[in-house]
Amino acid sequence: MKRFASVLALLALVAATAVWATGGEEKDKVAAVKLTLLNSNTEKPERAEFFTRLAEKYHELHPNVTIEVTGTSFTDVNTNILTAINAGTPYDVFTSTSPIWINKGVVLNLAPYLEADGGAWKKELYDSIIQGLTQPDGSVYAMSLWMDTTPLLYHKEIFQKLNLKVPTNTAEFFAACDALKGAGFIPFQVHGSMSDDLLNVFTWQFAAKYNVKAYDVVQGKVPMTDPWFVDSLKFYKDMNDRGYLPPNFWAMGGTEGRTGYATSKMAMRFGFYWDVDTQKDMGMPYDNQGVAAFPNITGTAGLKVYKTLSLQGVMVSKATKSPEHAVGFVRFMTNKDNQDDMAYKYFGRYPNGMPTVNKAVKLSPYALSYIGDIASGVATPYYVGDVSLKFGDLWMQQLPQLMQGKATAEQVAAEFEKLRTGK
Amino acid sequence: MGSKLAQKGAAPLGILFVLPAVALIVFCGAIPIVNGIRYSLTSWDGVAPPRFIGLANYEEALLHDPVHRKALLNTLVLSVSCVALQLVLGYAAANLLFQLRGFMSEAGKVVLFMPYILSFAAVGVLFSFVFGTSDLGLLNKVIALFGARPFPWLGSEYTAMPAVIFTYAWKDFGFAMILYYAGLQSIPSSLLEAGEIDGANAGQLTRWIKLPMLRSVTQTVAVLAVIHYMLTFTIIYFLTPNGGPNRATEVAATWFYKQSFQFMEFGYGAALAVIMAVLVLALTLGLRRAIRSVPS
Repeated sequence: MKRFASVLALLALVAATAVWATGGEEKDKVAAVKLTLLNSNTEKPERAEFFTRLAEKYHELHPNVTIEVTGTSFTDVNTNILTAINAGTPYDVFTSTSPIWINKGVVLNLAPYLEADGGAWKKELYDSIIQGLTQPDGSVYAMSLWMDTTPLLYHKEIFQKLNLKVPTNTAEFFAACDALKGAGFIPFQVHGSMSDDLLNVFTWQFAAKYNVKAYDVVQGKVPMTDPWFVDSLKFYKDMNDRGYLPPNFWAMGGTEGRTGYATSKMAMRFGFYWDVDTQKDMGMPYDNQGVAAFPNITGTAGLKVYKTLSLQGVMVSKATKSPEHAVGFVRFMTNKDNQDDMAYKYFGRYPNGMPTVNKAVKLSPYALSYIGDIASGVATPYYVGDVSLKFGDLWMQQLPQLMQGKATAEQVAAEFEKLRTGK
Repeated sequence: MGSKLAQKGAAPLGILFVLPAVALIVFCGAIPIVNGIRYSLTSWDGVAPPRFIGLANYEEALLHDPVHRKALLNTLVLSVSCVALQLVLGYAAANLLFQLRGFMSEAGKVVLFMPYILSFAAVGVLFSFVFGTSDLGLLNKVIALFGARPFPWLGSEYTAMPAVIFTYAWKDFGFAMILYYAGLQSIPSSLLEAGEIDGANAGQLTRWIKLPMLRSVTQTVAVLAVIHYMLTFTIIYFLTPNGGPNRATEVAATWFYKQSFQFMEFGYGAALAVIMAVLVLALTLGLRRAIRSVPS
């Protein structure tokens, strides 16, 4: 009987242990989090690997969080996102260039997370970045991966040879262009067959002059027939008519534009991209490349250095089952160290802006010269209004018309107004 | 025999064999077509549930969308030009090689057919370098030898479409050439010899013997080419991804792509696709009838 009782007790103990163990397993299962990341930065293997490493690093810091990374291309990313949403398995975190996901209401608002803990996350970012990311209603839907700047780049040797001063206003700017043109150089390199041109080149200078807000423009709230836009078109056309731009630049793509920069006799570059790899490949050492503030072409306080947020934003799906971890991962991706790596080592761009720069990263003199300026100034919003997509499409149609004299600035503006109003 | 097989239970077995093919056609053909038509009657952004709007998408596409009208016109211009070029160049090359015979003929066939087996994307990239808009483009380099300034071949609304047509013609005429060459070989030599004895010159032999005998080849090439060019996308998208200046090279397929995958207007995109399908069907049937009615 005693033996029987002992066996029973032993069995009960085993059963209790099993139940406890199973319960613990359940507990672990609940704590375990699996996130999915769709990364469209796969054009270079090291960039794709970088995002995979970020996921692994985050897992090391948070062992209960596993991040499954799926790579895709720029061209396929939106189809992938859409397919995942319709399959009922949306990616928790994804990178995309398109504002369309915000408009569709599938993206999580990051603003409360930025403000949490006394705004701890917000304090890690430059004010201009926050300004660029914040929607008019205070929401923040995407985190910029890096930042581009558009200063005035000029060819030091040519400027020295021709004894030219770096222009600071319209008169000096045109005088320098005339001198360069007279000496057989093409004063400015600019390409035209990308929709970025509308929002980047001269338009924002005139928008600043007339106190027009970038958000209002991309959300279609500002008449396109107003002077801020018409004047900028006229200025652009004037630049072309004076022969300051490469012949037929409106048909020139970004790569062709950059290659042309190296192979043609380009004196200045009013460009959009600062790409370390390309510059090196093109044999344009930084030593020959001067950097100056953006000339004040409108005659009023304009933009000193033009900055744009990365074309891609990293977004969190509203349907994620683990918003805290998904947002935590986005914050980790864009923290100081990772930003420095992403920006300088992998993409050749600027970080979102941190209070201090990672001194361990060796920066080019060009980058160093602008670190200070990044903290202030204007950043362009990218993630608002799907109207901006259609504006870009129309711009590429209208730019040749304007430059070839087949349409006036007013007519081009009227086409945009038709698109804005839908009439 | 059929009834015998049926008696032996072969009919159910036959149905069983046919079933996979029927299932494939239903799943890959019929269901997508029906779904496409269904979505074309809705406003659908791909995320929210589709909202039924009747024929509004068709009304917009056919009556109020100037870009779609221009895209349809461009598609027609591209198709007619390319089909004509493919037929003319294909026949001319085949005829030349047929007369050459021997090594030259074989080598010529290989060389002229080679562009046809290149991928569309590769040809698009290749010709974007040929028509490069700065002084880096091959064509601009050639004209520079004669003192001409670089010209935006793909950036001018007058030259963008001809450049695209040239690219397609270069790539595709080899296909027509091979079919015409095979057709020429099948013409009985006695017919051609009889014609020569009767004093027919080369033009008369072509007009009265070769072309009538090659009518089925012409019909096949023309029908396949019309379908191909009406729905073409890749090369034109590589050469002028933005639709060319002032929509000079915007075609039905690129506009459908933009609406669906760039602007995410899937309902409208589906309506554009249905319109295209109807047009291609009508054109194909019309073309077959037209070729059939040509007197021998």
